[in-house]
Amino acid sequence: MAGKFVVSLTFATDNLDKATVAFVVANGAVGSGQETVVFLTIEGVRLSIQGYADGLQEEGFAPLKELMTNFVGAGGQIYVCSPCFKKRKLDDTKLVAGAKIVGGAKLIEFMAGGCPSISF
Amino acid sequence: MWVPRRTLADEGFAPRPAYHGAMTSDAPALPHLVWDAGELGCGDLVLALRGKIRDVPPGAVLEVVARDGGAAEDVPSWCRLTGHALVAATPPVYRIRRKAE
Repeated sequence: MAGKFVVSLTFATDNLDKATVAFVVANGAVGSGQETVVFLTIEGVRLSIQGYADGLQEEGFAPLKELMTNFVGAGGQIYVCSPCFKKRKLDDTKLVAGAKIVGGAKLIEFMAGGCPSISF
Repeated sequence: MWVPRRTLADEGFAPRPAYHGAMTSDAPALPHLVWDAGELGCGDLVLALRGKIRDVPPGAVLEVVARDGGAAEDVPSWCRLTGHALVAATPPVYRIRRKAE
């Protein structure tokens, strides 16, 4: 029963608890056979940069980098909000594996046919 | 005048085997592999489960020991989502038959 699932994440180190749980839930979705996208937006876009998540670990959870690597390794996709990325002058040559910079249309196309989502 | 009572079979309903809910099995549910998931829970558990079910052949049974407090709800949900059959659930032990590919 494959469906689609979106996890929207607006935080990075400014709320590591939310950033971590977002990827835990995303891993639950992709692990349950759902075509899953994590949409990084606002401060969340910083997580798309290689090395940013290194050493970040919320108490009681696996390291964030491990959660992200497992997500992508299981077939999850990471969409990175283009204007949020541009505003922060981040380097698009340093994206982590599985991440792609997208505009709104890409996300809307993914969700338009009907798609549950959860926001952090 | 006596009229024989009509049965469901007269109405075209065939007898069905007993319904056992989500826990169905056509063969003994002896595990091909036992996996102790320890305290893994939530996304960590199901993502690991996704990988572990591939370690048993289609039709074979994986026995999972999962002690996380949410596992009793999550494991049956995961089975319904993925199409694998939960053939036994006595927390913290679950037996899952891998679906045919």
